[in-house]
Amino acid sequence: MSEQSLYTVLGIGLFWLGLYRALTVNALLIKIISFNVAGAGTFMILIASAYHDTLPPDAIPHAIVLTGIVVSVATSALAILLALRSQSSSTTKTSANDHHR
Amino acid sequence: MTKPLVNGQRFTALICLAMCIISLIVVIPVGPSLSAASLIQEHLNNSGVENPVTAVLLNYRSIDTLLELAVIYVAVLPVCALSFNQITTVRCVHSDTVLRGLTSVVAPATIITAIYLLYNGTRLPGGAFQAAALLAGLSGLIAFSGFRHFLKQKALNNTLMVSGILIFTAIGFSHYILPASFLAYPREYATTVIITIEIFATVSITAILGRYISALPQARISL
Amino acid sequence: MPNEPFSIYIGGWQPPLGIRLSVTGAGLLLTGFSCFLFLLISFFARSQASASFPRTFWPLLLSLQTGITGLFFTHDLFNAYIFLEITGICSVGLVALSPGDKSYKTAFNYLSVNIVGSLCFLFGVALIYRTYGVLDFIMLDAAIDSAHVSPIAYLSVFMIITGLVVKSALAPLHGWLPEVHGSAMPLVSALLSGLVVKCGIYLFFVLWWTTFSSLITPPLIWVLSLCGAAGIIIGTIRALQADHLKQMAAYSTVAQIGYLFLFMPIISQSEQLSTEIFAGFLLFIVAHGLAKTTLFLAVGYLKSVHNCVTPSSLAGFAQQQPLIVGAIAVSAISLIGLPPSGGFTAKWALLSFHASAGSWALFTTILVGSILSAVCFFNIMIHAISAPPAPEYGETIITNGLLQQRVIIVLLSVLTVLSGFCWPLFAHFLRWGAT
Repeated sequence: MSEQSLYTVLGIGLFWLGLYRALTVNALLIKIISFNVAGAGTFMILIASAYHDTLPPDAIPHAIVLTGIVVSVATSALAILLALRSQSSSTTKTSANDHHR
Repeated sequence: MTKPLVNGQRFTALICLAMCIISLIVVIPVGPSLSAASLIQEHLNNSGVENPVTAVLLNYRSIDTLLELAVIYVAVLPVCALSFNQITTVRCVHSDTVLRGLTSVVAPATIITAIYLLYNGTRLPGGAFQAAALLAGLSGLIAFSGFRHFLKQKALNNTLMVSGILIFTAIGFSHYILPASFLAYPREYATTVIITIEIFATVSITAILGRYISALPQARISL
Repeated sequence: MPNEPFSIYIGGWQPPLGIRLSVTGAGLLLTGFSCFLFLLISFFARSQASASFPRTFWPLLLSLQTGITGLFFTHDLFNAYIFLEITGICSVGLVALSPGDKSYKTAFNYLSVNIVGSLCFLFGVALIYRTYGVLDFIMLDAAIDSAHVSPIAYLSVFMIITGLVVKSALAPLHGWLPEVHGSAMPLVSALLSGLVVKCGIYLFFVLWWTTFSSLITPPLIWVLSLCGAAGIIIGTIRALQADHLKQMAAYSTVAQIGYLFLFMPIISQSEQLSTEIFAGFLLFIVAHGLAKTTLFLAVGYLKSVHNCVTPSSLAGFAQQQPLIVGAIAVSAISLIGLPPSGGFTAKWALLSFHASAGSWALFTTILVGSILSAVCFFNIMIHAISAPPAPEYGETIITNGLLQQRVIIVLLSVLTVLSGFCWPLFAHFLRWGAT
């Protein structure tokens, strides 16, 4: 099996593994990590599709993956903050609304 | 110790396994097709940079990069509202001599590496995001090891966070001055424009990622 | 008005290298409508501004407008993904800022649902890029048509559709919507129900009619019809059983999304009929947006001023707050589909399309859904009209900014009625290109 097919297989496997784990766990941090794993699987498929024999590697999937990584960082940051807030007590709720930037 | 799966989890596991096998069967026989790679090489001279990935990110599909800056900015808004620390009072709890010594050695080297990554993004792999990630990690390290750093001022921080999107959009709207369409760079200024955008993008992404890090609580909380 | 949609090539680069935005009559109409709704919501929020109103509401509101407007014009798959992400993060932020002690958990659940939808969408986009090498809608249509249609195309389309369906709460994946829309602030619920779920459905509609038109097979149509019908029935039955007004409005949104998805399975061969179907789809979006916003704002008004949340606590409000209860009545008329309202015209269009296509099962389902929602809303109106007011719901809690809120609610309810007469306007806009 060529290297490209290997990475595509791994990417597909990671995606479905991450999605399954994210949908079934109850622990919030594991859910967030599983979302990141599923995203990594998708990125791996894109990177594997950028390979060409004769031409230099195709740059558009690379750009897509860079953008996707940044978007997933932003989403994970928000998810982690929300998970932390929903775990701590509800008395910190009123003080949170006064925190401006 | 893992618990046995309940019925709902078994159902989900079955569906995900079936979809995984279907995906594998469907995707592997089909090889990837040739796409715009040759087109990228053709127009690379006109784009002002030599690295094809930077050309795609900041010239051909520049609106995706602009919107991606918008995405991380939009995520920092609720993060600021829900943050556990005010930006002026991020405390350092776990600092000690080793950490402070390490930071004082690592910080200058990291800054130089980041500037190198940023500047060489036009030729080699690198660019705004990589440099910004490095600098954001450094700002977290500086804050948590107890040094004072400039990102603790609220006004400066807010200005820096917004500057990336503002400059990018302002450059995009420069087509009211020069005859072109939105986000089209004139060919002779393309490199300058791209480097300007990258500098401001680095600065704002550093500020935003640093805000993500400083929003976390200092004490240990188990999820 | 020109006759063809025109394209904006960002940066001057043509696809497959660059990104195209396509300015169509449908996109203009929906953008105008969404900006108008945002304007009214901003005035309403400003009149509610007090010391405890979160200041982060305003940048998030404007960013949400950016995301929604972008989705109406984009013609590139990855660009659509980023706009979906902007919309999702802004919606989650707005839900997280709502008062209430369960809002963080609800916001986290909403964010998880959005992430799952985005991941499925991106997986589909990755497979499409791997196979066809293009991301632009029209070039992709040409690529799928010309090449031999392979199973990978079906899989990618399935994943993209799953992602959009998760984000727009089609049954059976609708479980997150009542909780999220019910626990957010009334302003935010109005925006979520009226606009955010609609932009996902609009993107689905555009993809269905242009890019993936050669991949539409009878099983897919059958599954979509089944899901739409299930959404209608489940939504209206649960709305009947709901004991809080906001929850009832949220379940009614589930039902209306079911109706919207029933616009897809109609196959038409003639150009003119597909334009009419699109016009009916747009009118349904506009009418439901106006009606649901009226309902949520009126219900929120009653909650913030008189603290009544259940249908039975509406007793006697018809005399006390005639304008607000009238606004609820008008939005009920539109949601049920009685004349004269936008909902009536749109539902009549939907029924006539299904009758001319011969799908009598869906026709019956739509009628049954309308009757059940009529039962639900009449129940509420009877409570409001008949019983004498209960003493503990009479005092007003908040007294400032009430006039502006009443004006906005009445304006929205008048527009709900007027949109029923706007069919020629929609058809006129759609002469300027549907997709």
